[in-house]
Amino acid sequence: MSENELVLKAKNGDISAFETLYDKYSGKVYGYALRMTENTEDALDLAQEVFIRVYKSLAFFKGDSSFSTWLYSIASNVCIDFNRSKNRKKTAPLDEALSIPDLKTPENEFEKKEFTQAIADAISSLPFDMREVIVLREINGLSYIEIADALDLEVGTVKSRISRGREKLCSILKDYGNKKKSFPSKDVKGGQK
Amino acid sequence: MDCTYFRTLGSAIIDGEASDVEIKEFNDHITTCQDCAKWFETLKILKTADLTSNAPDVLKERVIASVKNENKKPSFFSRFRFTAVAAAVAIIVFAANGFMSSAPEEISPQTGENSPAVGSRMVPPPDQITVGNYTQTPENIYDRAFSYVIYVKDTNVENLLKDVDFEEKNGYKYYITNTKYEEFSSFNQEIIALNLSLDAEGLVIVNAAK
Repeated sequence: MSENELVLKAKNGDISAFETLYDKYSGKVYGYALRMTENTEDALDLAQEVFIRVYKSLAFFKGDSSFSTWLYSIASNVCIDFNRSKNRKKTAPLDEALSIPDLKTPENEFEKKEFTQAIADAISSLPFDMREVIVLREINGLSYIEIADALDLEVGTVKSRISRGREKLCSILKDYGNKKKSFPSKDVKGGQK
Repeated sequence: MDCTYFRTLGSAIIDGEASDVEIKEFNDHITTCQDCAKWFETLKILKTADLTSNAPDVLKERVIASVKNENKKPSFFSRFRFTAVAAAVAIIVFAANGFMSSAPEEISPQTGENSPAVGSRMVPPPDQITVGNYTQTPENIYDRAFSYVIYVKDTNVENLLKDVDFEEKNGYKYYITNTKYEEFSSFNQEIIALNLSLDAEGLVIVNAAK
């Protein structure tokens, strides 16, 4: 059954159709929620709120965008509300200088796990606007156009925000890179060369 | 040299979002800029991290239980009618061939049955409503089966519609959306298009077309 058919059935109150949609998107929505909230309990609450709001709003889904884009726009709104209510912790300070960490591709399972956790932690400490686009790109696999549609941004804004987010990620990961190397990572001042 | 532009290009290349011209431009740049070359290699390594997560089973249990619970609640239209009752307003339904020409059939908001709505009055809808790229006029409202425009000036109703796109015009919020037929079929089997409005005196008008 196509996604459109599932959406139509779910609109009409078919819970098994909604369950199929849930199964398709639960990992992505939960992953998004986890990276945006930093802890599993909040992520559960946020992801639950997203799916319930999706279900309650299905009657108003116009089909102008894809279902996934619409779902992510709801997730984004829920997340903004969540951040507002939680008065989220401070993010890592902005650093004008670009720091390129000395990373190497992890070679075994332990390293992979450690590496993934370091990146996940770094993403969690990104400023909200950068974190959101990075998560939608890296975890949810959305294209720039899909992110722009979901967040109501210009594609150019998405493109530059992702790039700046990655610069910031590198800056945050500098210490991790240093720890993994016997020599300190090299700092490059503000893109000047 | 300010490398911000090239780093944005590199980032887009990593995501498969750069054009051939941009790729060439970036490749030419990194032949002379070691920092951007290293930046690009670092992005490739970052990209290898698998950041996906499986949702815990308890999430599904909670979501499906909530959704089942939602299904037991009154429908949107029932809730709207409750809001209308709470606001002590009257609902007028225009049936059959169009709200401009047909005789109004008045329906009590409390019961949904035909009865005189004392003190109610008609407020003609605007001649034309434009929402996004779609312009709705009294003539073409019937062309869009399973769709309707709601124009309301009522906070309670707006709360129900908070996830729906709208445009503001003349003090009204205009919503346009698809809806499920069942929402209205319990009210009137034949209704396929519906307008709601609220006039300056707080009167809700429902214009429905078969």
